Amino acid sequence: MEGAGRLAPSSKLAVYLATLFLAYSCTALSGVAAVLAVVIVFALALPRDAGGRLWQIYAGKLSTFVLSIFVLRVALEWAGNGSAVHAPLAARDGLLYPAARDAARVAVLVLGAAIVHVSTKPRDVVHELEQTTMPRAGRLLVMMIVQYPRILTRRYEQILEAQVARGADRPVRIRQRITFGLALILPLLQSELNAVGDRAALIHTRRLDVETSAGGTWRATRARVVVAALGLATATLAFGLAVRFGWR
Amino acid sequence: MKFKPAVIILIPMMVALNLVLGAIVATLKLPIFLDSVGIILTGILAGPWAAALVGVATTLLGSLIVNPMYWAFSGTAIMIGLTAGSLAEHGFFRRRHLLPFIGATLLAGLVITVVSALVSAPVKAFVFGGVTASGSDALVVLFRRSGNSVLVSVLKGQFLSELADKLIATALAAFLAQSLSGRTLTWFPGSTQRIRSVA
Repeated sequence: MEGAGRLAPSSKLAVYLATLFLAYSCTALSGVAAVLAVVIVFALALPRDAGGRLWQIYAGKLSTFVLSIFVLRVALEWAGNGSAVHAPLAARDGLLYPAARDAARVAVLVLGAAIVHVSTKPRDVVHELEQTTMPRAGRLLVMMIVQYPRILTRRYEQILEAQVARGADRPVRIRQRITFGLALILPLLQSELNAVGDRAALIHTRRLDVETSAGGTWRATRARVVVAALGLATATLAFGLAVRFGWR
Repeated sequence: MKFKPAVIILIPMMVALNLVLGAIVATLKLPIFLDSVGIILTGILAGPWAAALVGVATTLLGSLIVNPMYWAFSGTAIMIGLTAGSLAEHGFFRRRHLLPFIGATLLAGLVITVVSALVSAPVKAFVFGGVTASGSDALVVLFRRSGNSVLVSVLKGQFLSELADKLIATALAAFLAQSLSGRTLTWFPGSTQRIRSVA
């Protein structure tokens, strides 16, 4: 998966969305399971650092999410379809089949998002944007959207440290952290909003919102990888459509 | 479509607000979402198109870092943004006197709820089979048990959970908008007329 690092973020997103489309197009559990198997192979083939982060951050989230979808889907089938209770559990009209299929789809969803997330650094997004022909204001906007949650989190941590230094208890449990965060987020946003004018003036003064010629060109190798990724995404979409509408 | 520098600053800020609130609520497994406060506030300050853009950015970025199911609700987020922006342009968030202002804000919350439930219910029912591991799933199971179809169960469940969510989100957005200084509002053309009673 060395290519994953070189792949542009938009190409990764295209492949991910196409894979999702394929997973949600398959009505048979075996089809969804095959897509999930491919995604798992991708996850296992990630470089060591990204792979390590993937399982560290997402293992718990993945299992909890998939399990809750499975349980809730079984509950919904049970609630709505009395005959499903009497059908064999693993039959198509039984309780488990649709639940297992939806749980597998969600596993594709979560694992795919996790792969895109851990293999994409904010600077990759910035790098790709610098090479596009998108208007400069648009590029600036996307860069800020990608970076701002991190800035907000950092400001929150700074305020937290300042409060702790002044003698407040450090919130340890999740409930304490949430209460502390909620008490802080609105005043923090208010102060950020009131600083909008200064920042906007700064952008305008530095002429960051003014169009200039797009700099840089695609490197040939990178362009080939991107084209290959988009080809893969298109092929996956076409296959998904064929599965959905052709091979009933 | 060309945004002014202040709007370019506002959009990422509101996306971050949505994601932080959405993540907190998702962690607590509450039957609300609170991920549209930023969309509604952008609608009030910068109009419907900027709000729709905040909605799309929230759902796409949120899919990667908060809840992978967010992307499917991009249409809902766009509709919330367009509705909130249009309501703001029709004076629903303009404060003249306290009681009419509260009434208009609640009415705006109700309109946003109806729009949001109508757009998100088919997605939840047909794409995800009725469950998204959110707090409203219990309501869906309850309505399904009482004999409704999956779509109707989801619609009812969404309406009930979105009602509380959107009323709180609209009230929070209106409160934040009212608390901004006049100097800040001058950076968003027309926002003073949408928020304050201008003699």
